[in-house]
Amino acid sequence: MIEAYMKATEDVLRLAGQMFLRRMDDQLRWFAEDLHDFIYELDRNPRRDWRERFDAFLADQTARGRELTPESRKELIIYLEMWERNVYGGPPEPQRVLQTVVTRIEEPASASGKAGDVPQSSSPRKPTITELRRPKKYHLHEEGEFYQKLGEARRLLTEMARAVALFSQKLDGAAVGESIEVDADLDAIEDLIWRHNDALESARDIWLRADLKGNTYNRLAMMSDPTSVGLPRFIDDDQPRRAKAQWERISARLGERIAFLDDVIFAMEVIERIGTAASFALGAGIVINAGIQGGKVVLLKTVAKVVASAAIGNVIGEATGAALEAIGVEQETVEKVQNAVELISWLLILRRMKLLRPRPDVSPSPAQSTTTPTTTSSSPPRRPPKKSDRAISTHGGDPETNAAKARSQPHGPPRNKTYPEIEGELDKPRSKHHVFLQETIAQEMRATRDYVRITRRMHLSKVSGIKHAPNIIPDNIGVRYDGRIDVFEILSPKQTRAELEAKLQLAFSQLPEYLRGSFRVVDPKDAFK
Amino acid sequence: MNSKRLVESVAYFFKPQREPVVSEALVHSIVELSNSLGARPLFFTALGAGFELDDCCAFSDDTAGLELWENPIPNRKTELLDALRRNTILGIGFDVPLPTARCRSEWSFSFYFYPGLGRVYCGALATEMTKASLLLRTYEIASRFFDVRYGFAYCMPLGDEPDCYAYGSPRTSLADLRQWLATRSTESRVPATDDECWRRELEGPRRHLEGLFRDAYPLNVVSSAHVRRAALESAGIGLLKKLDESHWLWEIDEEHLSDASDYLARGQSLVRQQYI
Repeated sequence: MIEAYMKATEDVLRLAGQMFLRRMDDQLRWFAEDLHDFIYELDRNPRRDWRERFDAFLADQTARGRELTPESRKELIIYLEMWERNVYGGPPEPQRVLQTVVTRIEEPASASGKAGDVPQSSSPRKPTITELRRPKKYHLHEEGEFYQKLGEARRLLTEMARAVALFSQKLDGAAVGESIEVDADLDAIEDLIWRHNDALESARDIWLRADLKGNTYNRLAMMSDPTSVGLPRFIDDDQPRRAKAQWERISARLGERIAFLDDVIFAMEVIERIGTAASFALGAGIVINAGIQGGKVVLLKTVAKVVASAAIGNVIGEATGAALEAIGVEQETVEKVQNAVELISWLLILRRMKLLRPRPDVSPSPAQSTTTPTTTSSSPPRRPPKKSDRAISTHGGDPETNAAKARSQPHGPPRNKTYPEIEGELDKPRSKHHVFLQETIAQEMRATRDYVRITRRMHLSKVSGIKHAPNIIPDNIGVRYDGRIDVFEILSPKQTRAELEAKLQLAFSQLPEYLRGSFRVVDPKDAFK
Repeated sequence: MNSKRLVESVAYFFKPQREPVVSEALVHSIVELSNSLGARPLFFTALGAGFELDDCCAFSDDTAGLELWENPIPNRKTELLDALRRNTILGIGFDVPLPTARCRSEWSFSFYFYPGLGRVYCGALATEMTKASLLLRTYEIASRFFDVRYGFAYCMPLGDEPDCYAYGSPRTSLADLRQWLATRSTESRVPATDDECWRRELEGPRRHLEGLFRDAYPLNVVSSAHVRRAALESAGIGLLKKLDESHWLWEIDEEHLSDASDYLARGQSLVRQQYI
């Protein structure tokens, strides 16, 4: 008994240690990425006031709970001073190189025969002490640039999630009968998708050009794309074509086949799920009608029971009652079927497929409009954004504007949006392992920043909004940004994994396909392996 | 020790039932099979009529309830029989624990029947008579109630969770979970394992009901569609016996299993090949 207790305690302590390291690792990663950005920006736009900017950077990090030790701060200052001397000139100092950020580039041995130059040699050799003391040229290593691009892509994904959340709030805030102008929101989301893909394209380009090795491919392969927040992967035709070509080259270099899903698949999925109707069931009896008003996309919130027939009249494309039924709308009852992210995807695709048409019956008065004035005016189809349009893009743009925009970019996740509160209670009385695992899984889910909602021991129907029979109470449920639901169960001694999996599979079969995420059963016996 | 004991397993698959109901006759057949193997069913789990699939109940006439592994296990046999008579049970499982079991996963006999998912599993500790007879007796029971389209028999240690293998369910450690959470959105770029392919097939297109194979097993129950697709009659591998009008038993010696697997792969008849 005591032995078992000791073993359990040991397991718990080991896991607690792992969790702590994991959190620390997360924070360090964010710090490293922010530091990369800071140095990258400094390298592109050298400024004498770098000390003030560096202090501001550190203050920002402190505000995010990442305090630098005096020793680390000193190390970074030494490095930046070295950078300053290199850029603006100054007396040489002994080398201090931060290997993770920069690399030293040997100056090519010149034929000028200056003092200190070393004669060329056909074989590599170690530099002499004199050479090491000589001022060197430093620049960001391509690997650093590669990681900077991945960091940028990640941040843009976070921005997408935030934009979706704001869109959702806007939709919620609108009254029934009120029209909502969403063109600017759609433009912004399209822009984020394009920039995200642009950053990844640059990262892949660096990987191929610089022939990066080691773990870099894994980092590239594991990058999430906009579908992770439920949005279309691409919004133009060129990016997927180029991405596919890059992945083919990467495949060839690695000597293994890598599957590539193009945007068409996602578009097909959305169209299949929702149809090309211009009405969208939002749940709780609310239907959204979409159309073009004054060249901009306008939504109109209506009540399904009252306007179901009118909504059918407004349907564009497959204008049939069947199309509405396919999206979950019935004459009398409208079930909760979609969420904001799916609405956005749908609108983006409709806009792209030129399926939205003018709506003469929607004429919002200025007082009704909830949208802030927008400077963008788009008429479908939109021109895919050009690289030169992107202030943040490394391919062009005014440096001062770039710097200003880069500074305005949020660093790290927006806290309130990406760390949801964990709802519900721990399942008690249960074994220590069960309780510990339930809490750990919830925390692990939270740490991914992929969930808008995380629960412990809550009825599935309460989370999905759909009737389940039986209405199971899983140990953990997570709702992703795209609305998909993940479910986790922890095995008890009187259960078998096979039957628990069957239970979850049956519950999942009652969910509409677009809400189905994944389920996993964790056996405490396996959990600590 | 328990985990090293060998288990003979049989899994059958059929089209999931829209209105799944487990009949009383089916339960009697399972109990009969269990008794004939010398394993009297002690536990059951059921779905429907107030039963939840993961709530273990005692199935015996002589005990009011049990207290096992620090968990009370109520006796609900009468309730189950009532529900069966009312046709309100949608799925059922019976099992017999090993005498030294530390949890319910350490069983000597296990039988799951989930019409809603279109699957049957039967596992029993390996004895001389179980291999082929278990397959045929389970087939006899399953085919009496459902249109079985595919099945296979295999042997593995209890610790490898043969019941989970039948459905391609992987073990999950916290490290796996963490990895999955981190890579889930990009998993399309990570090659799926054979088990994952099988699980996806069961949850998705179910092409194994129309001619695809999971792999070659010592004993395979296949439909005419499988025989046609893989041209098994002219394959010259293993022994093909007709079970009834539309079902065949494809028996393969252990030493020819890899040849059979290669043969199926050449004909693009394996589920995992559809996921490359």
